[in-house]
Amino acid sequence: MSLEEVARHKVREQGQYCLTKVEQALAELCQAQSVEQKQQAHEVMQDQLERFIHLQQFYAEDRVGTQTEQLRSISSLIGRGKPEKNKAEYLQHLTRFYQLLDRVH
Amino acid sequence: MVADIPDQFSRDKAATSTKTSLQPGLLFIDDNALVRETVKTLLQHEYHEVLTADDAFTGLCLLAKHRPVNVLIDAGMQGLSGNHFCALTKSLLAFRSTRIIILLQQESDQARAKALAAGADAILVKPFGREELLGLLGKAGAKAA
Repeated sequence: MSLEEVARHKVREQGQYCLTKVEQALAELCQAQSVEQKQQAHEVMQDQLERFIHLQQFYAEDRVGTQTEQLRSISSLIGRGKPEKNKAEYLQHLTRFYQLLDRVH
Repeated sequence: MVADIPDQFSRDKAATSTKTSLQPGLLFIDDNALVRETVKTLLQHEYHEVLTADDAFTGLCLLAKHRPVNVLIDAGMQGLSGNHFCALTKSLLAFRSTRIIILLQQESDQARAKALAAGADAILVKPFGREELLGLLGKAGAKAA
């Protein structure tokens, strides 16, 4: 493999690692008991998602696709979500988020 | 092996100035905190914006986000090396015009040749002084212009 191919492979691995961190943070967010815990988990989730989206530019053939843009916007909705008030909608966002994560993984 | 990721990558980095007569952005990537701070101090009066990162993955994120004109990167970092960073960046049309200076720990023909093969616009050997660095940044710019 050339230097460039090795680099692309390493960055892809790092991007996948970011998605794993996103999933972990999402699980923490869902289990969080306090508003502070939720905010903290969502911040980590957003940071790692942004990292993934940036890194993807360096290895993905189709560059940053619509799926990652959708991930970004659903992540924002999840962060603002109030499951106590509208649980069905919240679950809908979560389900969609997991579907998209699964596709970009 | 995958390197761990600092969660606050987006918060540690940007030192933005409102000065308008300075050169556009510079990104400096080095895993040594003391070197990062020293170089940032040396260059903050020369550049509109000096961004720093402690690993090359974070460096790629900052490059994608801020599109700095110049990148200074240490060759010998864990995970993704300076040479890897350079080869990957120069392979992409969107980032090909980014000027990259690779910093070497020690002078050697082999290290110099590897950095040049990766596509470096210039090479600098540690330790270096402010004038040497500024001179090279000017030369790297002239080469790319």
